[in-house]
Amino acid sequence: MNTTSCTTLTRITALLVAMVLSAPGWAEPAQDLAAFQKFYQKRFPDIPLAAHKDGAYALDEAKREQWLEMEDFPPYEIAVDDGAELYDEAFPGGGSYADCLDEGAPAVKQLYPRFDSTAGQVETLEQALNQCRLDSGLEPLAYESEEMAALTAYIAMESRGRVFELASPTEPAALAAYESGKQFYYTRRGQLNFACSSCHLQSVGMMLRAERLSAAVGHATHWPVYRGKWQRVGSLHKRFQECNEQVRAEPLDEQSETYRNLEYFLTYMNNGMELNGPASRK
Amino acid sequence: MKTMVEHALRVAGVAVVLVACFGIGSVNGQEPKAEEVAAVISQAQADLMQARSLGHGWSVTSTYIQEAESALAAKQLEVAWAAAERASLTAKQAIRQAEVESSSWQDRVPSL
Repeated sequence: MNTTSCTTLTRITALLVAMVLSAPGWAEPAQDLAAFQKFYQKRFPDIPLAAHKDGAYALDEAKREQWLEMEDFPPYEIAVDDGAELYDEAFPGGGSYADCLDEGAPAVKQLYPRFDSTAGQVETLEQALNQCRLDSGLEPLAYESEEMAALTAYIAMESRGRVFELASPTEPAALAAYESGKQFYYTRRGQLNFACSSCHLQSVGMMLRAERLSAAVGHATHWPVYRGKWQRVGSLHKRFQECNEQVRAEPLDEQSETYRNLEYFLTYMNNGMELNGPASRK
Repeated sequence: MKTMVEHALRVAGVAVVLVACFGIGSVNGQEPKAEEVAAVISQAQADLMQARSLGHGWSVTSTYIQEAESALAAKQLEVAWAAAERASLTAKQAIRQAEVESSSWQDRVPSL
Protein backbone atom coordinates (compact mmCIF):
# COMPACT_ATOMS: atom_id res chain seq x y z
CA MET A 1 0.00 0.00 0.00
CA ASN A 2 1.46 3.39 -0.94
CA THR A 3 1.55 6.51 1.22
CA THR A 4 -1.43 8.13 -0.50
CA SER A 5 -3.61 5.07 0.11
CA CYS A 6 -2.54 4.99 3.75
CA THR A 7 -3.37 8.65 4.22
CA THR A 8 -6.75 8.22 2.57
CA LEU A 9 -7.53 5.19 4.75
CA THR A 10 -6.50 7.10 7.87
CA ARG A 11 -8.75 10.00 6.89
CA ILE A 12 -11.70 7.73 6.24
CA THR A 13 -11.19 5.99 9.59
CA ALA A 14 -10.94 9.32 11.39
CA LEU A 15 -14.08 10.51 9.63
CA LEU A 16 -15.99 7.37 10.64
CA VAL A 17 -14.84 7.70 14.25
CA ALA A 18 -15.83 11.38 14.24
CA MET A 19 -19.26 10.49 12.83
CA VAL A 20 -19.83 7.91 15.56
CA LEU A 21 -18.65 10.26 18.29
CA SER A 22 -20.83 13.09 17.05
CA ALA A 23 -23.95 10.94 16.73
CA PRO A 24 -26.78 12.10 19.00
CA GLY A 25 -26.93 10.14 22.23
CA TRP A 26 -23.38 8.82 22.00
CA ALA A 27 -20.96 9.96 24.66
CA GLU A 28 -18.41 8.58 27.04
CA PRO A 29 -20.04 7.43 30.29
CA ALA A 30 -18.22 10.18 32.19
CA GLN A 31 -19.69 12.76 29.81
CA ASP A 32 -23.15 11.21 30.23
CA LEU A 33 -22.78 11.48 34.00
CA ALA A 34 -21.72 15.11 33.88
CA ALA A 35 -24.56 16.04 31.51
CA PHE A 36 -27.11 14.03 33.53
CA GLN A 37 -26.27 15.70 36.82
CA LYS A 38 -25.91 19.14 35.23
CA PHE A 39 -29.44 18.75 33.84
CA TYR A 40 -30.88 18.60 37.37
CA GLN A 41 -28.67 21.38 38.69
CA LYS A 42 -29.95 23.60 35.91
CA ARG A 43 -33.57 22.48 36.34
CA PHE A 44 -33.52 22.96 40.12
CA PRO A 45 -30.90 25.63 40.77
CA ASP A 46 -32.06 26.11 44.39
CA ILE A 47 -31.87 22.43 45.33
CA PRO A 48 -28.43 20.92 46.02
CA LEU A 49 -27.80 17.86 43.89
CA ALA A 50 -27.20 15.76 47.01
CA ALA A 51 -30.72 16.52 48.27
CA HIS A 52 -32.23 14.45 45.44
CA LYS A 53 -31.34 11.30 47.35
CA ASP A 54 -34.69 11.86 49.07
CA GLY A 55 -36.52 11.60 45.75
CA ALA A 56 -39.76 13.53 45.43
CA TYR A 57 -39.38 14.65 49.03
CA ALA A 58 -36.58 16.94 47.94
CA LEU A 59 -39.04 18.74 45.67
CA ASP A 60 -42.23 18.90 47.72
CA GLU A 61 -42.12 20.37 51.21
CA ALA A 62 -45.58 19.17 52.29
CA LYS A 63 -44.91 15.60 51.23
CA ARG A 64 -41.49 15.79 52.86
CA GLU A 65 -43.03 16.64 56.22
CA GLN A 66 -45.37 13.63 55.98
CA TRP A 67 -42.46 11.40 55.01
CA LEU A 68 -40.30 12.59 57.90
CA GLU A 69 -43.16 11.86 60.26
CA MET A 70 -43.33 8.33 58.87
CA GLU A 71 -39.56 7.92 59.30
CA ASP A 72 -40.05 8.34 63.08
CA PHE A 73 -41.31 4.76 63.04
CA PRO A 74 -39.78 3.42 59.83
CA PRO A 75 -41.83 0.62 58.30
CA TYR A 76 -38.68 -1.10 56.98
CA GLU A 77 -37.28 -1.56 60.49
CA ILE A 78 -38.57 -5.11 60.86
CA ALA A 79 -36.95 -6.10 57.56
CA VAL A 80 -33.63 -4.63 58.72
CA ASP A 81 -33.76 -6.62 61.96
CA ASP A 82 -34.68 -9.81 60.11
CA GLY A 83 -31.87 -9.14 57.66
CA ALA A 84 -29.34 -8.75 60.45
CA GLU A 85 -30.28 -12.15 61.82
CA LEU A 86 -30.08 -13.78 58.40
CA TYR A 87 -26.77 -12.10 57.69
CA ASP A 88 -25.21 -13.33 60.94
CA GLU A 89 -26.28 -16.95 60.47
CA ALA A 90 -23.28 -19.15 59.72
CA PHE A 91 -23.55 -21.28 56.60
CA PRO A 92 -23.93 -25.02 57.34
CA GLY A 93 -20.70 -25.78 55.48
CA GLY A 94 -18.81 -23.02 57.25
CA GLY A 95 -18.33 -19.40 56.37
CA SER A 96 -20.87 -16.62 56.20
CA TYR A 97 -21.99 -13.69 54.09
CA ALA A 98 -19.36 -11.58 55.85
CA ASP A 99 -16.63 -13.97 54.70
CA CYS A 100 -17.98 -14.14 51.17
CA LEU A 101 -18.74 -10.49 50.37
CA ASP A 102 -16.20 -7.74 49.81
CA GLU A 103 -14.01 -6.26 52.48
CA GLY A 104 -16.02 -3.91 54.65
CA ALA A 105 -19.12 -6.12 54.56
CA PRO A 106 -21.92 -5.61 55.41
CA ALA A 107 -21.36 -2.00 54.26
CA VAL A 108 -20.89 -2.91 50.58
CA LYS A 109 -24.03 -1.64 48.86
CA GLN A 110 -22.06 1.21 47.28
CA LEU A 111 -19.99 -1.30 45.29
CA TYR A 112 -22.96 -2.68 43.36
CA PRO A 113 -23.90 -3.18 40.62
CA ARG A 114 -20.55 -3.78 38.99
CA PHE A 115 -19.34 -5.36 35.84
CA ASP A 116 -18.01 -8.88 36.30
CA SER A 117 -15.36 -9.26 33.60
CA THR A 118 -15.12 -13.01 34.07
CA ALA A 119 -18.84 -13.61 33.67
CA GLY A 120 -19.08 -10.85 31.07
CA GLN A 121 -22.15 -9.31 32.67
CA VAL A 122 -23.38 -6.96 35.34
CA GLU A 123 -23.46 -8.35 38.87
CA THR A 124 -25.93 -6.98 41.39
CA LEU A 125 -25.86 -7.24 45.17
CA GLU A 126 -28.72 -9.75 45.06
CA GLN A 127 -26.74 -11.96 42.71
CA ALA A 128 -23.63 -11.67 44.88
CA LEU A 129 -25.63 -12.78 47.92
CA ASN A 130 -27.01 -15.76 46.05
CA GLN A 131 -23.54 -16.64 44.78
CA CYS A 132 -22.38 -16.75 48.41
CA ARG A 133 -25.17 -19.22 49.14
CA LEU A 134 -24.43 -21.35 46.09
CA ASP A 135 -20.72 -21.45 46.95
CA SER A 136 -21.69 -22.78 50.38
CA GLY A 137 -24.04 -25.40 49.01
CA LEU A 138 -27.21 -23.52 49.90
CA GLU A 139 -30.20 -22.94 47.64
CA PRO A 140 -30.35 -19.41 46.21
CA LEU A 141 -33.06 -17.13 47.53
CA ALA A 142 -35.87 -16.05 45.21
CA TYR A 143 -35.12 -12.49 44.21
CA GLU A 144 -38.60 -11.31 45.18
CA SER A 145 -38.54 -13.17 48.50
CA GLU A 146 -38.88 -11.52 51.91
CA GLU A 147 -35.53 -13.02 52.93
CA MET A 148 -33.73 -11.32 50.04
CA ALA A 149 -35.53 -8.05 50.82
CA ALA A 150 -34.48 -8.35 54.47
CA LEU A 151 -30.84 -9.12 53.69
CA THR A 152 -30.54 -6.21 51.26
CA ALA A 153 -32.37 -3.90 53.68
CA TYR A 154 -29.82 -4.71 56.39
CA ILE A 155 -26.87 -4.24 54.04
CA ALA A 156 -28.36 -0.94 52.80
CA MET A 157 -28.76 0.26 56.38
CA GLU A 158 -25.15 -0.62 57.16
CA SER A 159 -24.05 1.15 53.96
CA ARG A 160 -25.78 4.42 54.79
CA GLY A 161 -23.52 7.41 54.35
CA ARG A 162 -21.31 5.67 51.79
CA VAL A 163 -21.10 7.20 48.34
CA PHE A 164 -21.55 5.58 44.95
CA GLU A 165 -18.23 5.54 43.12
CA LEU A 166 -18.80 3.01 40.39
CA ALA A 167 -15.86 2.55 38.05
CA SER A 168 -16.44 4.00 34.62
CA PRO A 169 -17.03 1.17 32.15
CA THR A 170 -14.13 0.90 29.76
CA GLU A 171 -13.91 -2.64 28.43
CA PRO A 172 -16.15 -3.35 25.42
CA ALA A 173 -18.49 -5.77 27.22
CA ALA A 174 -18.99 -3.35 30.12
CA LEU A 175 -19.61 -0.49 27.72
CA ALA A 176 -22.14 -2.62 25.85
CA ALA A 177 -23.99 -3.36 29.11
CA TYR A 178 -23.92 0.33 30.01
CA GLU A 179 -25.20 1.35 26.57
CA SER A 180 -27.95 -1.27 26.78
CA GLY A 181 -29.11 0.20 30.09
CA LYS A 182 -28.87 3.71 28.73
CA GLN A 183 -30.94 2.84 25.66
CA PHE A 184 -33.59 1.20 27.82
CA TYR A 185 -33.74 4.28 30.02
CA TYR A 186 -34.44 6.68 27.16
CA THR A 187 -36.65 4.40 25.04
CA ARG A 188 -40.38 4.94 25.00
CA ARG A 189 -42.31 1.73 25.52
CA GLY A 190 -45.76 0.42 26.37
CA GLN A 191 -49.12 1.55 25.06
CA LEU A 192 -48.75 4.87 26.87
CA ASN A 193 -45.46 5.47 25.03
CA PHE A 194 -43.38 6.53 28.03
CA ALA A 195 -39.65 6.23 28.62
CA CYS A 196 -38.12 6.33 32.11
CA SER A 197 -36.82 9.72 31.07
CA SER A 198 -40.31 10.94 30.12
CA CYS A 199 -41.22 11.19 33.80
CA HIS A 200 -37.88 11.64 35.49
CA LEU A 201 -36.13 14.06 33.13
CA GLN A 202 -38.63 15.58 30.74
CA SER A 203 -41.37 16.08 33.35
CA VAL A 204 -39.35 15.97 36.57
CA GLY A 205 -40.85 18.03 39.38
CA MET A 206 -44.29 18.08 37.79
CA MET A 207 -47.34 16.34 39.21
CA LEU A 208 -48.59 13.01 37.85
CA ARG A 209 -52.03 12.86 39.38
CA ALA A 210 -51.26 13.32 43.10
CA GLU A 211 -47.58 12.37 42.86
CA ARG A 212 -44.55 14.61 42.37
CA LEU A 213 -42.17 13.22 39.77
CA SER A 214 -38.73 12.73 41.32
CA ALA A 215 -35.27 13.28 39.88
CA ALA A 216 -33.47 10.20 38.58
CA VAL A 217 -30.23 11.46 40.09
CA GLY A 218 -31.40 10.09 43.44
CA HIS A 219 -33.04 6.94 42.15
CA ALA A 220 -30.38 4.40 43.04
CA THR A 221 -29.49 5.62 46.53
CA HIS A 222 -32.24 4.29 48.75
CA TRP A 223 -33.10 0.69 47.83
CA PRO A 224 -34.68 -1.53 48.97
CA VAL A 225 -37.80 0.45 49.80
CA TYR A 226 -40.89 -0.13 51.89
CA ARG A 227 -43.74 1.06 49.67
CA GLY A 228 -47.18 1.58 51.13
CA LYS A 229 -48.84 0.19 48.04
CA TRP A 230 -46.72 -2.98 48.27
CA GLN A 231 -47.14 -3.32 52.03
CA ARG A 232 -43.60 -4.71 52.13
CA VAL A 233 -39.97 -4.01 51.33
CA GLY A 234 -39.15 -4.45 47.65
CA SER A 235 -36.27 -4.02 45.27
CA LEU A 236 -35.36 -1.52 42.59
CA HIS A 237 -36.18 -4.17 40.00
CA LYS A 238 -39.65 -4.54 41.47
CA ARG A 239 -40.04 -0.81 40.92
CA PHE A 240 -38.79 -1.18 37.33
CA GLN A 241 -41.50 -3.79 36.82
CA GLU A 242 -44.11 -1.47 38.28
CA CYS A 243 -43.02 1.42 36.07
CA ASN A 244 -43.25 -0.80 32.99
CA GLU A 245 -46.69 -2.03 34.02
CA GLN A 246 -47.88 1.53 34.59
CA VAL A 247 -47.15 2.44 30.97
CA ARG A 248 -48.71 -0.86 29.82
CA ALA A 249 -45.46 -2.45 28.76
CA GLU A 250 -44.75 -6.06 29.60
CA PRO A 251 -42.51 -6.14 32.70
CA LEU A 252 -39.34 -8.24 32.73
CA ASP A 253 -38.16 -10.61 35.44
CA GLU A 254 -36.28 -9.27 38.45
CA GLN A 255 -32.55 -9.66 37.81
CA SER A 256 -33.07 -10.16 34.09
CA GLU A 257 -30.06 -9.02 32.10
CA THR A 258 -31.97 -6.01 30.76
CA TYR A 259 -32.93 -4.78 34.24
CA ARG A 260 -29.40 -5.38 35.54
CA ASN A 261 -28.02 -3.29 32.69
CA LEU A 262 -30.60 -0.62 33.47
CA GLU A 263 -29.54 -0.65 37.14
CA TYR A 264 -25.91 -0.40 36.04
CA PHE A 265 -26.60 2.70 33.93
CA LEU A 266 -28.88 4.31 36.50
CA THR A 267 -26.49 3.72 39.38
CA TYR A 268 -23.58 5.09 37.37
CA MET A 269 -25.69 8.21 36.82
CA ASN A 270 -25.95 8.36 40.65
CA ASN A 271 -22.19 8.37 41.14
CA GLY A 272 -21.19 10.79 43.87
CA MET A 273 -24.56 10.48 45.62
CA GLU A 274 -24.79 9.34 49.23
CA LEU A 275 -26.60 6.11 50.03
CA ASN A 276 -29.61 6.45 52.32
CA GLY A 277 -31.40 3.16 52.10
CA PRO A 278 -33.53 1.47 53.04
CA ALA A 279 -36.28 4.02 52.64
CA SER A 280 -40.02 4.36 52.77
CA ARG A 281 -42.25 5.61 50.00
CA LYS A 282 -46.00 5.84 49.57
CA MET B 1 -78.08 27.82 3.16
CA LYS B 2 -74.80 27.82 5.06
CA THR B 3 -76.60 26.56 8.18
CA MET B 4 -78.21 23.73 6.22
CA VAL B 5 -74.87 22.66 4.81
CA GLU B 6 -73.34 22.70 8.28
CA HIS B 7 -76.26 20.67 9.60
CA ALA B 8 -75.92 18.16 6.77
CA LEU B 9 -72.22 17.82 7.46
CA ARG B 10 -72.88 17.21 11.16
CA VAL B 11 -75.45 14.54 10.35
CA ALA B 12 -73.04 12.91 7.93
CA GLY B 13 -70.31 13.03 10.58
CA VAL B 14 -72.53 11.37 13.15
CA ALA B 15 -73.50 8.73 10.58
CA VAL B 16 -69.86 7.98 9.87
CA VAL B 17 -69.15 7.60 13.59
CA LEU B 18 -72.17 5.30 14.06
CA VAL B 19 -71.17 3.15 11.11
CA ALA B 20 -67.64 2.99 12.46
CA CYS B 21 -68.85 2.02 15.92
CA PHE B 22 -71.35 -0.59 14.85
CA GLY B 23 -69.07 -1.80 12.11
CA ILE B 24 -66.55 -2.99 14.72
CA GLY B 25 -66.85 -6.69 15.18
CA SER B 26 -67.97 -7.46 11.69
CA VAL B 27 -66.29 -8.35 8.46
CA ASN B 28 -67.74 -6.20 5.69
CA GLY B 29 -70.91 -5.94 7.76
CA GLN B 30 -71.21 -9.75 7.96
CA GLU B 31 -70.98 -11.90 11.07
CA PRO B 32 -67.32 -13.01 11.32
CA LYS B 33 -66.60 -16.71 10.93
CA ALA B 34 -64.78 -18.60 13.68
CA GLU B 35 -61.84 -19.40 11.41
CA GLU B 36 -61.49 -15.73 10.48
CA VAL B 37 -61.34 -14.78 14.16
CA ALA B 38 -58.83 -17.54 14.82
CA ALA B 39 -56.66 -16.28 11.98
CA VAL B 40 -56.61 -12.73 13.40
CA ILE B 41 -55.77 -14.09 16.87
CA SER B 42 -52.98 -16.17 15.39
CA GLN B 43 -51.55 -13.17 13.54
CA ALA B 44 -51.78 -11.05 16.71
CA GLN B 45 -49.86 -13.71 18.64
CA ALA B 46 -47.14 -13.75 15.99
CA ASP B 47 -46.94 -9.95 16.02
CA LEU B 48 -46.76 -9.95 19.83
CA MET B 49 -43.86 -12.40 19.68
CA GLN B 50 -42.09 -10.11 17.25
CA ALA B 51 -42.73 -7.08 19.48
CA ARG B 52 -41.35 -9.02 22.45
CA SER B 53 -38.25 -9.99 20.51
CA LEU B 54 -37.69 -6.28 19.96
CA GLY B 55 -38.19 -5.63 23.69
CA HIS B 56 -41.47 -3.82 23.14
CA GLY B 57 -44.30 -6.15 24.13
CA TRP B 58 -47.38 -4.33 25.37
CA SER B 59 -49.31 -5.86 28.26
CA VAL B 60 -52.68 -4.96 26.72
CA THR B 61 -52.06 -7.19 23.71
CA SER B 62 -52.04 -10.36 25.85
CA THR B 63 -55.20 -9.19 27.59
CA TYR B 64 -56.98 -8.69 24.26
CA ILE B 65 -55.77 -12.05 22.97
CA GLN B 66 -57.13 -13.78 26.08
CA GLU B 67 -60.45 -11.95 25.69
CA ALA B 68 -60.64 -12.96 22.04
CA GLU B 69 -59.85 -16.60 22.80
CA SER B 70 -62.43 -16.75 25.60
CA ALA B 71 -65.11 -15.16 23.43
CA LEU B 72 -64.25 -17.46 20.53
CA ALA B 73 -64.56 -20.48 22.80
CA ALA B 74 -67.95 -19.20 23.91
CA LYS B 75 -68.91 -18.65 20.24
CA GLN B 76 -69.36 -14.92 20.82
CA LEU B 77 -67.87 -14.15 17.45
CA GLU B 78 -68.56 -10.41 17.32
CA VAL B 79 -66.89 -9.91 20.71
CA ALA B 80 -64.03 -12.20 19.76
CA TRP B 81 -63.49 -10.35 16.49
CA ALA B 82 -63.35 -6.96 18.22
CA ALA B 83 -60.84 -8.19 20.82
CA ALA B 84 -58.73 -9.93 18.18
CA GLU B 85 -58.64 -6.77 16.08
CA ARG B 86 -57.51 -4.76 19.11
CA ALA B 87 -54.84 -7.35 19.87
CA SER B 88 -53.60 -7.22 16.31
CA LEU B 89 -53.61 -3.42 16.23
CA THR B 90 -51.72 -3.02 19.53
CA ALA B 91 -49.16 -5.65 18.53
CA LYS B 92 -48.49 -3.85 15.25
CA GLN B 93 -48.26 -0.51 17.06
CA ALA B 94 -45.72 -2.03 19.47
CA ILE B 95 -43.58 -3.17 16.54
CA ARG B 96 -43.82 0.28 15.00
CA GLN B 97 -42.82 1.81 18.35
CA ALA B 98 -39.74 -0.41 18.44
CA GLU B 99 -38.78 0.68 14.92
CA VAL B 100 -39.14 4.36 15.70
CA GLU B 101 -37.46 4.14 19.09
CA SER B 102 -34.46 2.24 17.80
CA SER B 103 -32.95 5.59 16.88
CA SER B 104 -35.11 8.33 18.37
CA TRP B 105 -34.20 7.48 22.00
CA GLN B 106 -30.88 9.18 21.41
CA ASP B 107 -32.58 12.56 21.04
CA ARG B 108 -33.56 12.44 24.74
CA VAL B 109 -30.09 12.03 26.18
CA PRO B 110 -28.98 15.23 27.91
CA SER B 111 -25.79 16.75 26.57
CA LEU B 112 -23.30 19.15 28.07
